[in-house]
Amino acid sequence: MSTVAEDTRPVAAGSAATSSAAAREAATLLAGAGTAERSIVAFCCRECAYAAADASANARTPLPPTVRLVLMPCTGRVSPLHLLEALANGADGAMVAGCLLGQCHYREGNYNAVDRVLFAQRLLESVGVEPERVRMFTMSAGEPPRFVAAVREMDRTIRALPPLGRS
Amino acid sequence: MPLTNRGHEVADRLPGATFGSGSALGCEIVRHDELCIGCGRCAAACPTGASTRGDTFDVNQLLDAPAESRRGALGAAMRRLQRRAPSGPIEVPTRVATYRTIVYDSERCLGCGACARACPADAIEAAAPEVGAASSAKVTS
Repeated sequence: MSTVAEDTRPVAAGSAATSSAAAREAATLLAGAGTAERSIVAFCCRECAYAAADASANARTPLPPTVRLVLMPCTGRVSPLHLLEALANGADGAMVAGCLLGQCHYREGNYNAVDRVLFAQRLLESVGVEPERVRMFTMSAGEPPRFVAAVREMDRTIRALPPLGRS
Repeated sequence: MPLTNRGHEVADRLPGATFGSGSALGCEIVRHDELCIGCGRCAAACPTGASTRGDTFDVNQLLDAPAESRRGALGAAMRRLQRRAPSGPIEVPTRVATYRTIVYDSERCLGCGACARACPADAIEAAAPEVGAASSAKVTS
């Protein structure tokens, strides 16, 4: 489990409308693995983070085996429902990886994503779940190391937390 | 006195309004917050500003949402993750528009029912007033 090629099978969402279903599927796959391993669902913007992930995979940079990628057309498509449904269906953490602030290809998508992630954190906090389980990262398409660093940081955060209990 | 253009415009916004008889106003407005999707159309339709969009969000709205309602999926996810009851409403970031609890001020409400007609989620009920009750109230006051 050291190289990236086998570890991060992207669960590609064909269109924005199916990305919630893709998130659920990714989370269910993770839960079905039945290991004590933690799991993270990463919602990646097609224009930057996904391209960075692609580049890092081509460079054979090892990624934590816990992460599964979900392709989004823009992080502005991420809604609190995506994040919470991923957590409710088996993921221990959800991260949103988008463009640098001010560099969204659709002008303001990542600003919206920042606020929605913040809102999802507050929702989680209000029902007693650690808000760190949901986080937003920004990077550009030309920064694969930054993507890898973000995933590793998220992985460390999630490992420090107890497994997410669900009713 | 015949109605002005503005008068007709207002009368059109109040369903069944007939000035003079007063029979159309005074509907009893019942809000079902667990069905509300926070779109704010009731606030836009309200002629007196009795319904406005608030700055906070009441998490119980999600936790109570029935499975088949528009926010059922999010409500179900929240119920699965829930470890404790929410302590109160949470603040909403600026760019999150639809997760805001609508503030309803019954003091300013005419009971015209414009909000119930505008609501896409059937979260507002407007019950027509009983004619007898309305007229007797008028006599006593």
